[in-house]
Amino acid sequence: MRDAWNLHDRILTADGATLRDRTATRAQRDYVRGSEGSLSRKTVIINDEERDVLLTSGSSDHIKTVQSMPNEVFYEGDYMLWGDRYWLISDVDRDAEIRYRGTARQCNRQLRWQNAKGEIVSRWCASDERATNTQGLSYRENVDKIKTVFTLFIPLDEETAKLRRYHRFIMDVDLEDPDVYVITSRNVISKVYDPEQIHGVIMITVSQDERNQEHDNLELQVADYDEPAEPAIGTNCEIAFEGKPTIKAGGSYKEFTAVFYDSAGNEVDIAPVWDLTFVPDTEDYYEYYEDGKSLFIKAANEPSILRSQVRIELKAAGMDCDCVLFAKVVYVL
Amino acid sequence: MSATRTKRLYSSKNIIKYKRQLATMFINDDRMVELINNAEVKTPEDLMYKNIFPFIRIPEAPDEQLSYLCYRVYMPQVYSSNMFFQKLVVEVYAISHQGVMVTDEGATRIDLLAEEIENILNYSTEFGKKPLELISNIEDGFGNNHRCRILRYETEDVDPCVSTK
Repeated sequence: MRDAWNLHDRILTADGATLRDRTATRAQRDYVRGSEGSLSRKTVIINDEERDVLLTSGSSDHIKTVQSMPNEVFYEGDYMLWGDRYWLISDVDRDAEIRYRGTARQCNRQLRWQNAKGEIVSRWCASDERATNTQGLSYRENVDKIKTVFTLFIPLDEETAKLRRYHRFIMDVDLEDPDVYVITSRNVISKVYDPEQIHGVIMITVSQDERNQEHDNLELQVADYDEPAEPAIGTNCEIAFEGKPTIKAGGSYKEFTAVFYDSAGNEVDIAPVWDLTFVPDTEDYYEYYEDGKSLFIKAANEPSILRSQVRIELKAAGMDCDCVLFAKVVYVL
Repeated sequence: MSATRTKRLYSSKNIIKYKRQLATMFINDDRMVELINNAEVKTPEDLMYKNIFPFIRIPEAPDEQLSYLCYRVYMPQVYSSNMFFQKLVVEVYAISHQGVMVTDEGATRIDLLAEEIENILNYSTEFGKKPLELISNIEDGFGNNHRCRILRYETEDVDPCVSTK
């Protein structure tokens, strides 16, 4: 008799211990069964995983409601690849007893920019349809200019979190004569609900800007592109420096640091031997000294040494190593 | 006509030279770098176009709270009755957001910046042919959040046309 009651209990609680749990489990099961024949059920890729979701109409053809299968998770800021198009998920309902539900915006532009390390970063973004022909910011300009202003939605991550006002992007369908936009406003609050601030969507408002013929790189489609400096790597050693291998005439001391490696590539502590070569008769315009593993060079504000180069050679006594760097003297302005 | 062209060319050339000289003097002054107080820059040269501008940069309301120097150099009257000397004006703006105005030295940041500008520039012989003289030192404001001190210096430079006539 007891076995019969145990069996009865097990059958009764197979979908959950409480009535509420059982209701949720059955609703999930009905949801899956009901979606199997639905035209809204699509196979997509989210976070490199193929999975099925329900895609239903949203507020426009390019904004849809996306619902996960039970026990599958997506977050704000995740990309959903449907066919060959990227969609950005936002506004996820955290009440996920049955499934997760959020908004998917179709991405229509790939933003490209250069980060602080000199690397080119790209992210798909969705633009707000409510573009306006006004300025996003008052520049106290003498001449009124019509500028297109709109909001872009991009996922929150380590790179996008660093985007700030005045950052510029090239965005156009005409790659040879593109328009450039500048960030005039940044909103990292309204669509970031994650207390850990890992997942979320950043909204940036961009305003049309003037193109800079010198620094905007059309080939790479990156605005304000700065050619990364090549590191000075020689045999078993390296001359490290901040920024570019330049010395600013009239500036402060520029530091060049010696780094030595053993045959296994491990950094080793050896006293450096520096050798400097200047353009003849210009040595008086330079000041330099050594401190530990670093060499400090300062150039005077003297027009005759501008655009010349200082040859810096690094060696070490009793070790097979050699590295040469040509540091160019440039304007301080 | 050709003399006019030569004259303008040389006045601008001198102005560029003096602007470079001002940059050199400011970024090589440890006290000035300390007062500007930008923890993000690694070398004093990095202050150029971040906190030291060789033109008048207008701060915008939602901008970051910064202190910075702007300067301009000009010759207000290239043509004059004086055949040999022309007036040369150097104006330096010490600008600070109100949020970073307070220091622990018992003075506002713009007043301390102005004091250091005077230490660097008063009677300097790096500009023109006579020592640089401080003509005025006034306080003013930029927009809602920024306040500044404007130091106007004058000296005389050799008429740029003299050597080319």
